[in-house]
Amino acid sequence: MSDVKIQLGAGRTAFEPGEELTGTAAWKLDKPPQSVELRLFWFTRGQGEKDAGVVETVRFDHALREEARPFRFRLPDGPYSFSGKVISLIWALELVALPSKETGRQEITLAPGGKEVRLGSLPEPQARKRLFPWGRR
Amino acid sequence: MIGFRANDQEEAPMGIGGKLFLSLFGLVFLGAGLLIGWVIVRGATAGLQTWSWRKTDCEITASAIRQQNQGGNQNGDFFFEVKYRYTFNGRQYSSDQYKRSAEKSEDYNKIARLTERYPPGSSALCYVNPSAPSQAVLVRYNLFSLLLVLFPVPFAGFGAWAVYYAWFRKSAGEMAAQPISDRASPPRGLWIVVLFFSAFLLIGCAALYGFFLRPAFKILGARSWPAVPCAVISSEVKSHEGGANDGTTYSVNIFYSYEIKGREFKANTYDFMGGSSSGYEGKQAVVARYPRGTNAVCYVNPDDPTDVALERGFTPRMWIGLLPLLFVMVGAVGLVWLFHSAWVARATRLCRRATGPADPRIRRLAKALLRACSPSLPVPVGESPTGTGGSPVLPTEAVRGAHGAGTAVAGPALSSSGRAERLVLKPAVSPWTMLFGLMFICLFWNGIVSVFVVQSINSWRYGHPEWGMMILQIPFVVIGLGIIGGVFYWLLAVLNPRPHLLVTPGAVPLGGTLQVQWNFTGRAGVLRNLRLRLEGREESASRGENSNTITSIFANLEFANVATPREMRSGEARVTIPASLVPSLAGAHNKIIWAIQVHGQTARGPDVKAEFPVTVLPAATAARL
Repeated sequence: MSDVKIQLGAGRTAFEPGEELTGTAAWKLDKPPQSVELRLFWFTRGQGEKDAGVVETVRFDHALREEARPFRFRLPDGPYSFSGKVISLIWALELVALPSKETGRQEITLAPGGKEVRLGSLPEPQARKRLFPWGRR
Repeated sequence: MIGFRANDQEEAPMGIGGKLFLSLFGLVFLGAGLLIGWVIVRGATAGLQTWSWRKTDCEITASAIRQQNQGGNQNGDFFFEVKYRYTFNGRQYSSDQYKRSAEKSEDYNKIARLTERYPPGSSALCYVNPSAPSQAVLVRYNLFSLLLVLFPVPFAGFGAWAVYYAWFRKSAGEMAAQPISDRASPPRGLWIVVLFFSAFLLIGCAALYGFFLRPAFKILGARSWPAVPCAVISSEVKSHEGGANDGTTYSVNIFYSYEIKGREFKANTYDFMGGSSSGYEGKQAVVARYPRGTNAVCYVNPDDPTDVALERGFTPRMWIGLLPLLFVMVGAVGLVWLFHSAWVARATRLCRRATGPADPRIRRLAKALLRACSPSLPVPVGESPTGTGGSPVLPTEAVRGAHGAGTAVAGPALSSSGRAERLVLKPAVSPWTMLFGLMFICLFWNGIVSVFVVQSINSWRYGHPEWGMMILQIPFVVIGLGIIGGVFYWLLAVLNPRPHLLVTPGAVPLGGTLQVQWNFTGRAGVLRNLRLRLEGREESASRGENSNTITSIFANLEFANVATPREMRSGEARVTIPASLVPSLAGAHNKIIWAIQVHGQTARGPDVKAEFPVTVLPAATAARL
């Protein structure tokens, strides 16, 4: 049974932009991988198509079948973790064993104060109803 | 304010009914594609065998033009009749096969040219089947015909994909097990879009050449052809019956004879356009000018006496040949757009790489590039401010990963210093773009619809109204009229006064204040009221059956509302961006857009409405800059 997981330093999952993030990437696989990648990335959830952006990747070469390695990232300024009506943006770390693509994921929050920004929803600005756009009001 | 978290809308697994329906749908396409493919391949296989036949000298014993088919019926086609003899392995044989299938054409001249090429008594080369020497042809299978095999491939491919998708697509669970970060890979399937637009361009070019350019070149070449007296043998409007949904079309069919150097030639070419179309009266009027037994003037190519026409000028029908230009435009505009997008993406990568911290030379280039790049070019704020300092990551890895995702903030370029620098904003869409875009759609849509409308009107005029076809056309005609209305609306909109916005700084941080200066060019006197507001919105694009863009406004800050002519013509205002919101984001499908909305109410005509995107930076980026 394979096990791929990420442990963050001091168990923290909320960070300020530009802050340093540390932790340990650990894996226990059925057979030795070609390599293991740790990716710092963001992705979107929501009603439309999904986007994702990998900001940094650490590649652990010559990886053993079972191992744990420390890592350290400097987090970027943005984009912020947020949750809106149609889009949510989530930051995460993903540990991917290659080529089997066994994956472990750890979501984090990256925003001022370490708190996800909640976006409200306002009504569309009121359009004046006219039968013809060029008619007198 | 209503707020809630946007979650993934996972597709529900397809039920057995849906799977069966999709499979049936796919099997129809797959079956039709395979059937058509089989017919084409069977014909091609038989034809390709002629390429293994042995080249042999032969002597033409007879060649003529026949008007009846093998059954003795006359359907307006002309057939090439040829006989030749040859010796193979010491024995003499004869054949009457020009190629594997009968050679026929509506164009008399095309067959006449074959009789000129193979006159009785002449020598020629034929190809003899070595295993059955009584079989021979003068012309082997045309290898270009093999391209026809490609025709059913998209049908069969789509059908096979539909069946595969119904039964073997990955479940939501399997998808979830895949790394999410893999989504950041460059988008695949772009080549399909390139193929789509290339097909439009190629088909459009081929049709434009066949229906307009080729006749036009012939017309220009025929200006120097000598006029020759000719006698009209027969004259009629020929009907061409279409299928169940296609109406009858008509063509001018005037058969005439003429003499060149004492030898009689015959032809039925009226003009260089050829083909048939709807509209009977125009053709009848032409036929009436050339009654049977009368003498007329035809124009003969001095280099080829079978190349002849009664009318060598431009005819009104030729303008129909310009319709494929619409396909050419769609293909060309699409490809230009794709290549421009690719160029912008490449420039963006360069800009981003250049802003990286690794190399001071590259950093200097970055600033130059960012100044040179379009204001709408994304600038990098999604990357680490300190790059890989203290990180075990190679800088190129980090940069490449982020690029593939299209992570960026859209908006005006940063100033070289990154601090208070003025920036002239560009509108998201100009009225001219809307006008020309809509005019293009209008021409494309109504150009196609008009062909069927004219056909319906003609069917009604000639007493064979095709009611079903007319009723089917109604929604298409209504949409076409709506588009025409839209063209007039934007025609009025381009006459409106034009707003120009100058902002300081060019990119504003969250919590910062944006100074906005505006002025109008054009007829600013028509304005009755002017409002400017800063809008922040989420925007997410979805594909598939219900392809659309979903938006939600999360910030709406009105910062100017003026009504005096002087203030409306030019003015200045400030707006502060709430620090608790989010910076600009421009993913491939998901965006956070900050934009200044300008709304000028006018006395008459369309209001002035324009959107000017601005870049909002994370507070930390602005502080560092």
